[in-house]
Amino acid sequence: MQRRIFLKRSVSFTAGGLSLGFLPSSVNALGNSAGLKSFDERDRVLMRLISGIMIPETTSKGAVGTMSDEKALEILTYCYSNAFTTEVIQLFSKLNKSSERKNKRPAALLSENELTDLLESLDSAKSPFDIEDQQTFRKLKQLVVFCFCTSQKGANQELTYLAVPGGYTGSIPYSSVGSAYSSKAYY
Amino acid sequence: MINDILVNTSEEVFDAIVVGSGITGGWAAKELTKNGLKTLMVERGPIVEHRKDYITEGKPPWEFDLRTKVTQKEKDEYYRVQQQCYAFHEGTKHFFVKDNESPYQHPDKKPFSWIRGNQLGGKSLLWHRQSYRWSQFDFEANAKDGIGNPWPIGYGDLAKWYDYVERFVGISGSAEGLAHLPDGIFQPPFELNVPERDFSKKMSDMHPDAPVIVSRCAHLTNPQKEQVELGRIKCMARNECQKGCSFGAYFSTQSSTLPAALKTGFLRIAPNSIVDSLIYDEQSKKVTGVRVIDRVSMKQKEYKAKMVFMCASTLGTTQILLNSKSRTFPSGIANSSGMLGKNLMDHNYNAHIQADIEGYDNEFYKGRRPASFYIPNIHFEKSKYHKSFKRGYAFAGGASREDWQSLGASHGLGTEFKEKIKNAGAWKISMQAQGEMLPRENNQVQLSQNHKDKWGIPQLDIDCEWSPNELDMMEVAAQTGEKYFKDAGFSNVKAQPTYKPPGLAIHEVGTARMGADPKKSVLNAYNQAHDISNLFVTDGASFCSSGVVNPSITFMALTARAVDFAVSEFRQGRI
Repeated sequence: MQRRIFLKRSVSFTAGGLSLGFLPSSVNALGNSAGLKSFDERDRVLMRLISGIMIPETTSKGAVGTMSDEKALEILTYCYSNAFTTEVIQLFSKLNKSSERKNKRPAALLSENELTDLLESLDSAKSPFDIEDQQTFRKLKQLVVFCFCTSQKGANQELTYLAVPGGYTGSIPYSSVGSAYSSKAYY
Repeated sequence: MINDILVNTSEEVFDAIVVGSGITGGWAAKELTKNGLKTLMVERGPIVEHRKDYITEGKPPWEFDLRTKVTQKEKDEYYRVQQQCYAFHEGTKHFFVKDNESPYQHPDKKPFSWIRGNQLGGKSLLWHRQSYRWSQFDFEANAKDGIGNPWPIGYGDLAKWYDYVERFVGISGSAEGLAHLPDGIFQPPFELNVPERDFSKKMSDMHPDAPVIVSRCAHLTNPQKEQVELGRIKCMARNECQKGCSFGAYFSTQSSTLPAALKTGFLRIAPNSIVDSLIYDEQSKKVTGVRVIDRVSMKQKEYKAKMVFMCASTLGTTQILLNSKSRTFPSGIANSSGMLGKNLMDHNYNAHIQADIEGYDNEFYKGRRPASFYIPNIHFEKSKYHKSFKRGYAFAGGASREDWQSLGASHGLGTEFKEKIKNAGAWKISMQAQGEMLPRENNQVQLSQNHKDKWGIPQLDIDCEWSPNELDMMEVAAQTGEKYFKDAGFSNVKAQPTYKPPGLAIHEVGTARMGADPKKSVLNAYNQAHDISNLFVTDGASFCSSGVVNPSITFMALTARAVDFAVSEFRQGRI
């Protein structure tokens, strides 16, 4: 999956700005109060590549296979403050500048290994990234994880979803479940 | 069935009107109708029918457009205050009031978060369901400390009513034999998990005055005949209660008091009816009914009754009483004492402690428990007060394994990270304090002189803040909690006093207090207005102090007791 994304990205780059056509009508009707800080197509492609590196497809679906990247952008656009959305856009810009400096091309045109190296620097707050960049990235990562673990596939195949537990038991062997629960009282 | 008993207009003089349909309104209606009194329940919001109207119940996160998150625009426009409630999300927002429709005022430097649920069932659909009796120490504290107004009743007056409501409600919990946290009629408790059990053992050795017990909550764990007959069954540990529970496993108006009242045939309900004020007859010196504005049509109407029970929530009731002005009561009905609106209290949750627990790698749990562990107040009488403050606090908390919700922000990428978020992580433990707030007259609500809501009713001006007593208490609570966790051997202990404003505990009480002296209180020992024999206030407004424990089961006991008294008076022709 990841390889396919990397092959398709140049096509995606030729597209215009993000139309938001993927958003459900109920969301479009409500929107973000202070005007949308929208992500353009390049942001969207970069987000897909980043998400795929955060949670790759293995023997099971990853972030991209569960469309967690798109869902994260929806939630980021509509449910987060404009301040954080702006932070993410600025982070993407910094990623691109860093990539241009080092690799002479934008981040979305890096090889998978090159982009992984760049993200590892970001995740570790290594130069050229600082603690603030790292914090923005971690929050973005948390959102992608949220979207992955609340997707139907992520919640049921990767984790254990108990819609109706039937009662509470205070002690069972972890090995009998084998994963964390995806079902929550509050998300 | 509900449709058959809805009232849109009526000339009938009911035996009783109950204003509000939440925890106390439901109880008042149940008890009044059980005694054969024709009762009209007046509710400002729409009907929420048990099961049918739990529109998000059982809906998994992936079926929500935004995975249960609410858009920023919607939060900004409609839920500026309500979004602060822990239970607010896309699956529950329809049970919260829209702030823009029901505004209130407060000084800029004294924020107050007024959380409301205006629909049939009120906040009984949203409450946290923790249920503890008050002790004799709580009822005596005002008198012994010389603070506020002495309670006109003691634990002995209320004990049998606690028994009565607990049997009906169904409270899970453990008997502990603590005088300052009296045992009740309990169904089997929820379990503590293994690290919590070990914490409990360590605490009993090192701090025997601060036992770690399982919390008591209004969830059925062994439903009794009376509950089963109402269609209620055992709690399934989904902990999605605020979406509504078709199992009827937790106590709400819909699951419990309403079906019981409906069975009598004596209940009528007027939904979408915003009570503007009470009608007072100067000659008989009694209330004769309520003035109502239809929420939808905006039309004004009146409903008549021989007595009125105010159960519209502490601040809702107070707003109506203040707005019920007459020649005799120019500053609000039943307010000859001048105490109406004063002494607003809430609980203070501003101390949070967390830590890591090592080990227990193969320990896990199943289900989402609606309970927690609980450490009762250790400062429950004057001789045990801390030198820095009066009264005390309890702790509630839990231990659980870290998971993707927190691990998502941790270091890592790729396959290893995917494996990390798939698995349960290390054990964590946290708890927060719940501290008593002292009654103070200058923590008060008044009717706004300048602002009205869309129905033309003066908004409330809420002027309330923590005093140094509450702030000092939370500093000490954080230190004490930190010590407990360190003594238990937990690592990475962090104690954080926070500064959330009053209101967020959603335990507001005190603005029409009870008391023996009519010059210093609004209500007598039976929640009956000193000034008006056929007016009763049985919600949190009637409290003289906030106590330490959650108030709702005491709301219920007071209401059942007040109705018993009112029915007796009614039958003897004194009302």
